Amino acid sequence: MSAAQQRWNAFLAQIEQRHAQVRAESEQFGTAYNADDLAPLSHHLMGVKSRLQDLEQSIEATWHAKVDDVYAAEGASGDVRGEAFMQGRHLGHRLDDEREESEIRILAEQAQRRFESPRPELAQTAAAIGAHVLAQQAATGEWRAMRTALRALNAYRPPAPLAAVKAYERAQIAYWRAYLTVRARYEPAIQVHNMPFEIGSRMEQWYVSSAEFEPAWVQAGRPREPL
Amino acid sequence: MGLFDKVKGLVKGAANAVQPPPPQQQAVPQAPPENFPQHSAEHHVEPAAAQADDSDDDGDVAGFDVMADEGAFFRAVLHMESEGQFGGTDESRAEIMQQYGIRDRSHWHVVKDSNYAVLAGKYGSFNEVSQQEMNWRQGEMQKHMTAQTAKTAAGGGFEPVEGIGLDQWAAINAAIVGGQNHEDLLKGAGIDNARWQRASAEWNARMARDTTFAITTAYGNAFQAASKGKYGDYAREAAAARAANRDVTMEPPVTWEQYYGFMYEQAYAAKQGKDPVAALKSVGLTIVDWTDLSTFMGYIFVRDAGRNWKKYEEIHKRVEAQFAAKYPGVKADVDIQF
Repeated sequence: MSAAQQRWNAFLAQIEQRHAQVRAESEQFGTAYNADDLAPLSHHLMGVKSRLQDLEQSIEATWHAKVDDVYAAEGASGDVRGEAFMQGRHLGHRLDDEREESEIRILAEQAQRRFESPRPELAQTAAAIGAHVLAQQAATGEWRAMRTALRALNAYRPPAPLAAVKAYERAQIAYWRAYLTVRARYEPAIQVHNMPFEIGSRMEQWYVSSAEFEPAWVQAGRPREPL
Repeated sequence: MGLFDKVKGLVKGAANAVQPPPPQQQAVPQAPPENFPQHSAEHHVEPAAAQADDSDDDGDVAGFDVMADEGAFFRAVLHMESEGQFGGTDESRAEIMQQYGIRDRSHWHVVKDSNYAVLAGKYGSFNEVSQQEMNWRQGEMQKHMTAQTAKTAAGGGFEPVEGIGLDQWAAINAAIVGGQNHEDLLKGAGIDNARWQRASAEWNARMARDTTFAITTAYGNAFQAASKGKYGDYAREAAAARAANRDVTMEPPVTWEQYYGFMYEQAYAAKQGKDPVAALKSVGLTIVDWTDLSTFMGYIFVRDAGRNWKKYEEIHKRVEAQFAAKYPGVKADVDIQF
């Protein structure tokens, strides 16, 4: 392994470890948090989010500022440098997902406690706090799949193949179905008996503003997945 | 999204608002939809003197007459240079090339540069041309949003819920965020709490389904129309100016140094896990004040950054340095180095 690769691996490992450490501390803080007023917890989460995002952004920033030059000085080929860059990018994506999920877990735990609280004033606020986070937590698998499909689609130099466009479309629909099915438990205004309407209204903008500009999708006759 | 989420969103939005100004010709802080093409470096025109030897076709403006109709040229640039919802298609590009007598891609570049040069002569500088083009695009966005609003209205999206219209719902929410008593407000409006909850749920559900943002935009306008904050008139003037695609007629109530300072106070509070609302309070502002002020200042920025980019960049860098000195050691994890 080259010296540049060793240094890059070590740098990425530090980022990953620190990210995990900050998330773990934040989740411990969330578990221990038992005040009625959630504002201080919200402020804490803002600070944590800012720090985690700084860590994530430092990956590509460091690559451009220093790492690529070190690889180049070693005489690394374009392929090697590209592979090393993507190693960092993939880590950044994974940490991005982990950060989002960590915050959802913390808030979902708070919401769940309120649902179970014997105090009516707390139980009454549970749905307002929990509708999104509990639905999002229940749809984590679909959400991850949707993000993976979008990143795969974006990785193509345009035009993207039809299969990638359709994979992202299906992943979005699966996410919305899982998310709205749970969210409807807390928000009666969501028409769970009319899921094609609910999902369709959320998908429409993507069809109009994105899919419509994918040549493979247009040439195939704009094939929409059934809802 | 409930009220709690909205307030949280406002605070978070404000806290995350401090970003270095985007590079010149991408200066649109109140972002249009993400797929709306921004000015690209490709649009930037070098001074005519630098192009003197490029081609025998120098000065070839093809079928455009930018002195009489610059909008037709800006539209052609948008379609010829951009993809996506607001950009061009193969069909629209072919139509433009036929209509204006453009032979091929190479000829287009000559024609484009020649027309920009004519416009620079008309306006006195390339920066001013850039600003005019940005204003034109904002106008197109406004037309698009007006059409979306009409479509939503035709589909019943603005019909009152349990007798509570969007304007009334937004006005009551504005009063609540402004600090008035929730129960007193409902009592005064003759609305019982159960009815209010049902109406709020339905309006929130409609907003969630409306990915064109027509309802959200109308809500935002109604919210600010009802604002009783000290910058309410400024927000209303910005909304009126945006609707008419014109400049504002009021002078800014604060300097740009102060405005960027308010942004940084919130950003540094958020970075430290502190309450950005308290940070606003420390500089004499409420959330409503901040929302109204940023609406007004953001609109001025959109209408001026193309021509005065350097001014904003210099002020921003100066304030950024002041705050880095004011809050040393806030940035964590500086021990991790390559």
